[in-house]
Amino acid sequence: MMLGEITPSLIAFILGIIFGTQLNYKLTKGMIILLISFSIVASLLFGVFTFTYSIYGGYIAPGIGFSMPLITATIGIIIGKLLKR
Amino acid sequence: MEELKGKRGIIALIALIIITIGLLSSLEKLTGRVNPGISEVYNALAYLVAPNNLATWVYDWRGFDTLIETAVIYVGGLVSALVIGRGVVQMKKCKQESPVTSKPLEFRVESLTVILEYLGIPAAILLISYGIMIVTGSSTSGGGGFQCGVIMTSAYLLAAILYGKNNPIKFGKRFIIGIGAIGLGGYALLGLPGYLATGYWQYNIGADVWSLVPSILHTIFGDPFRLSLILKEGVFYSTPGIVPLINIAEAFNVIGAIGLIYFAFLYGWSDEGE
Repeated sequence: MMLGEITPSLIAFILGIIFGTQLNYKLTKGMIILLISFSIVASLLFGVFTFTYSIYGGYIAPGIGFSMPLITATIGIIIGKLLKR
Repeated sequence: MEELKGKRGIIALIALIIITIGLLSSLEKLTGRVNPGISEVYNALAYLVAPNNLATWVYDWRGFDTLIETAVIYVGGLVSALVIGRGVVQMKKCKQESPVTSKPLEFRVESLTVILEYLGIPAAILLISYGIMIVTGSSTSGGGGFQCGVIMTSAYLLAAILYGKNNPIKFGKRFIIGIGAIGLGGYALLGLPGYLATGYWQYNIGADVWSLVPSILHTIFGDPFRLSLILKEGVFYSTPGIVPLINIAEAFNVIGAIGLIYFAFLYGWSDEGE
């Protein structure tokens, strides 16, 4: 595994926290579950190119693109919102 | 010009001088090293940076043209504000004159359908995530900064349209200005490592296509985004170097530029606190 597969997810997480602090909306449990579920679907839809051998697309499930930065960004936004409470 | 006096003015002046010297001396040093069209050196080294020539071309030039595009947006925002008048943007200098009054934008939040009421916010939040994904994907796709900025501000506008003044994505004035300033400053500062190491402003010391920098710098700026490309012919390694960082700075810059326009036109502007 190369660093290039991990760094974008970390950066997405940090950016998510930054923008999550600007949310002015009460996140319920249902909303959090909805966001994470949609993020997983979106990650499959917008997954990275398979030639880069991502963690999921290359090693675990070859042929399937899976975008980790999208999920970590959503998690970051949720955490950022919780931090700003 | 009052805003440029004091510490901020001195910092701005010093930064401007450093950037100007860097750019001009870089241009001077480029003499004889750039051929018309795509150079032979470029063709010989391009595959070391990216898996294909298109991506290589995007890596090298995308960021620079986007910087100018952002400048166009800033000018567009300024001109729009000037044309529409002081009713929207009211600066200190114009306070003695009575501002042009205009009816505030009318938000009719109560007319939201059930679907928009419950799915509007998740859609806006997911748009932000999508924007972040686009900008962090620049290690495999080249550009992304401008697109990210446009997507993020679209999320802001979507939430503003749905929820009016109670916008759940509360990008305040200070936040938008801060993000824009960090983006613009970051973009300019990312030129410094390359300039100090090689004499070329914004030389990509992570990718180091001309083999000019010490290996330690190449490692520091190149390894965080290095990917392996496994082919039948063997395993190849490529890194976009500082391009992802430039793209993040560019995204911040675009969020600042477009966000300010939306903010000023939707909620009005004054020099007082938020």
